[in-house]
Amino acid sequence: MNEPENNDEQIIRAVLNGRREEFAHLVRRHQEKVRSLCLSLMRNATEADDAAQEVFVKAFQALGRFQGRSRFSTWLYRVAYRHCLDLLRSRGRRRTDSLEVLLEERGEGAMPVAASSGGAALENREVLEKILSSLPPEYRLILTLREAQGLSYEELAAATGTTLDSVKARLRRARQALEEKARHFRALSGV
Amino acid sequence: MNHDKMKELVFAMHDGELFPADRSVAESHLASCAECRAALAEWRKTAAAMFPAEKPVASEAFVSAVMRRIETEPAAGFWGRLGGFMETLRTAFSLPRLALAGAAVLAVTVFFLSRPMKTASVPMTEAEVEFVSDLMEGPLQTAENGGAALGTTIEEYFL
Repeated sequence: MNEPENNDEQIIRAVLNGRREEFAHLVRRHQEKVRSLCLSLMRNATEADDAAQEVFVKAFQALGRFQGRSRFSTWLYRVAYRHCLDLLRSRGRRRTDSLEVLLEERGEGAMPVAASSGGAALENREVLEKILSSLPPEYRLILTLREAQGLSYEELAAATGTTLDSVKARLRRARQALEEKARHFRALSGV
Repeated sequence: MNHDKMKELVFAMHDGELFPADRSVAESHLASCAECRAALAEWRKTAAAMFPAEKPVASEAFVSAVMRRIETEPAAGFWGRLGGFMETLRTAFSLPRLALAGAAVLAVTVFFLSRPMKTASVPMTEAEVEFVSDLMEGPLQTAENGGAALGTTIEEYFL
């Protein structure tokens, strides 16, 4: 379903005039972007869909504040960005085990063995998740939006509510931080 | 352009954010710099492993789930917002708080209104003494005959 973007404004006006059932068109049209972002971050379909639903509920609640200065999809990304940032922060507070602890529990030679075993995908996924979880949420989110979602710098600036220069600087720092974590992991696991 | 700036340019090229002129500069640098080639290759490998593009299939069940959740929400339009605003007011300003605030405003108003009005007592100038004497249709009075003199205030003259 590829309806033109300018139809979003007509739907929004209808919803604001009390026809809330029209909101379903917006959900239908933008669900893939929002669910894809949530899935890239959560790595769990059920959690991701729950988060994506919450994003749409928040968008509905805040719809009266959408002033049409940007495209609805950009504004929706901004709502999703804030919501996902909150989720990542609360996940971060709950997280107690670090990458070092994970590697220690498995022993020094565990990773190469795991990588060559039948459960390699799951093993690696767990470690990748640990590496990503150890990043500041802002870094993880901007990298996901750029690398998995393919947002341009301009779209990133709109979604994160910052300037282009700030986006470039944050992206650079996030990449450096992730590379350092990945190198650290390789050094620890001896791979 | 120093090496760090060139590296930034190389990554901007990876992001598809360069105009053609800058792109050729980045490509030339990449062709001649083993460090940047290695950094970009390493990043591409890391990004592919860490950020796979997840593409969920569009689902009507998802749309229905969102709409069910929205059914319990207040309306999104003006009346919905007004309702939300009134609810905020109701919780922020309970009746006892409003009564207390009203009493405080009343007390402050009464205090200021009950204070006596003070007027400045400014000694009269020579011109004012003449004007008052003319007004009284008498000769110019002096301090010697009990009349106004320079330095006398209007209140003192008439009292």
